[in-house]
Amino acid sequence: MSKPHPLVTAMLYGLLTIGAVIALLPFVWVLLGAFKSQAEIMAAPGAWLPRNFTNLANFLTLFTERMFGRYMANSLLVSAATVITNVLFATMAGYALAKLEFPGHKLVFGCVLAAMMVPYVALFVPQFVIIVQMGLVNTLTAVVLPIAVMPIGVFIMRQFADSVPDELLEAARLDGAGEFTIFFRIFLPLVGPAIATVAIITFLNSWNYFLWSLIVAQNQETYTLPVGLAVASQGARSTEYGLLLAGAIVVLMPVLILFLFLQKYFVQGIAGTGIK
Amino acid sequence: MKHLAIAAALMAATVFTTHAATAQDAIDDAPATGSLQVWIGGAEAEKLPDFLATFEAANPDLDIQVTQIPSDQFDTKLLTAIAAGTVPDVVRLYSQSQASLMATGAFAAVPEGLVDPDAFFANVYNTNVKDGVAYGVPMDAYATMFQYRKDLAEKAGLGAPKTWEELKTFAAAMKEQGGAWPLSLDVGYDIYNAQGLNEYVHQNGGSFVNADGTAWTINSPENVEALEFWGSLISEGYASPDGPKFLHTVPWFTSGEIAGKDIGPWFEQFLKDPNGADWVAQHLATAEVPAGPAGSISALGSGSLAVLADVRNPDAAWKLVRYMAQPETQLAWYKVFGSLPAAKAAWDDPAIAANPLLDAERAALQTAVDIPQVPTWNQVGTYMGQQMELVARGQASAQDVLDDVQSFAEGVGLGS
Repeated sequence: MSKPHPLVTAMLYGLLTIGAVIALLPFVWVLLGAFKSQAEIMAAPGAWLPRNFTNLANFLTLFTERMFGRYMANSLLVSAATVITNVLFATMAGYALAKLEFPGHKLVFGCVLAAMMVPYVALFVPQFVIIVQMGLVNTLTAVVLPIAVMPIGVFIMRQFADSVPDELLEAARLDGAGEFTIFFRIFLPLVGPAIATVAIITFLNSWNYFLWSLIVAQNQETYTLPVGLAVASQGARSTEYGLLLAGAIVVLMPVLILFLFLQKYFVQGIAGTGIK
Repeated sequence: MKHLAIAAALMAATVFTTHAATAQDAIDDAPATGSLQVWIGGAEAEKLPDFLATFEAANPDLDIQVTQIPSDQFDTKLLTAIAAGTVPDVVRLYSQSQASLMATGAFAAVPEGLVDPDAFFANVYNTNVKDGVAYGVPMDAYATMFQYRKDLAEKAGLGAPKTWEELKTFAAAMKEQGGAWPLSLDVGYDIYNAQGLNEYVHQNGGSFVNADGTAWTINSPENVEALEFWGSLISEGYASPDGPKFLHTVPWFTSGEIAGKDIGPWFEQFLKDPNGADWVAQHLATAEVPAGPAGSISALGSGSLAVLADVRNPDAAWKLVRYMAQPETQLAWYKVFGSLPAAKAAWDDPAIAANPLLDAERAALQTAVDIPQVPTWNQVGTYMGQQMELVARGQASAQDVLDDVQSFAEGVGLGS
């Protein structure tokens, strides 16, 4: 392959830069808007830059008057719990489905696939009724339970597990290792990237989880961040855009920070599974 | 679409789990006791807990918990709770969306003698009445008014337009004053367009449903004429089919790009926020919406409090509702939150009576009309709003569009 003409390269970079700017503009607008007052946002003609970059009123209001601290703590708890349960159970299930022969393992895998295809809407009411009968309404446990093991995680782990050579596991078994030793000491270290993928997908899902968290919560003490964001920006006569934008930044921050540190795995996860 | 699917699944589930409301004994005057759960889908929940301090002081053994719920998911949450039997005691309903909630039959009938129906604007009270039984008590109300730039109108030597014809004369004069698009219509092409059209339809003596609510009458000649008139405002250059979008309304009105719009009483505060009270005093005037052949009829919106049939503490729930229905309470709530009272007596207080911008509002509330109170209005209105864009852009006639919406609506049915 010959090197493309420098002019072509330059044009390509130019186009990509324009594309990146277009994609980033709305985000920049949100970021700048977070420092504006409602009057500034509503003013004509709207200015791009806030009058005062040190105007943290929106952020302060969210945390002092609109319980954002509480919502943040709830969200972190829910996300942490979901990531832990999903990684643990999906890895175990994936290992069992790929590497262990047991009666009905094809049926079980079929059920996992089927569960991926059932629209979430169809399960909504039955799930809620079950939660009510378990007496878990208005608890964070109820938020976590239905997504404690997501079929997509099991599917991803099973596909990755398939690529782990049987010989390695066989060798360990011949050396007298039990299933749990094999799982924790041989298998787990080999599927690190897959675990990262499942963890990231689970985190994004549970972090953005809105409707179910809202339904389960019976008062604002158990709201998570996305639900809190939706109520915090409701103003007397119209949406309070300053609060909405500042809240969006607060919700986005942990995801951005995570992305900065785990960029490699994000890309790998999306490329490997086709799922964002 | 996803929301519709969820709503449909929930509606199906609720049909089997709820039973008809039973008549409640009269509510006495003893202090309320126990605990109450109140769900509100809006910003009011921020202010309500403090506001209720007076009521709680008078009822020391009562514990009220107010929960704020994101407005656009309120129905889904309440329908799920109805299906699972985990309902709150009192909920805040909005006339725009309450029909589908009421259709579940999960609400308790208002006890005999709790409030005097004549104390409220009649059309507002009737929003909650199904087959002669009231299931909610009005808390606040608003009607659209024609709000315009009085400074520009004065320059042109005009007052507020009183009829459809005068509306066009007014618009032409505003164009001469430099307004690019003198009038503003809703241009989101969603359910709000259909709500807007509902005004014109009633001004022309039409209606989207027949008098007893048993059939869609969307393509009646009166309605077609009303849509033609709406379309002519655009085709004759008095309104743009592209703007202002919702967030642009205030800037366009401030700059004089638009000079008049049918909009609710909140517009005054919208304009005060960026421009200040002096600007509003000098530039804004309100009037009843221009009359069509059948008169000046504007769009009504209202909010009510309702009690669920399956609650643990109906006695305390109704006592709270009764308290919120008093003119003094509604007036105090207006001062705290800005929602206009549904109780007529509250309107005599200087806080409202002395604001000239609200004179037209009081008159409009006597005649304003609701959107059709049928559970399927959300689907039909959304479709209608989308199809109205064809008329706005001259791609279809009013007759063709309303024929199409009528057959869509017949397919969807009335939901009961």
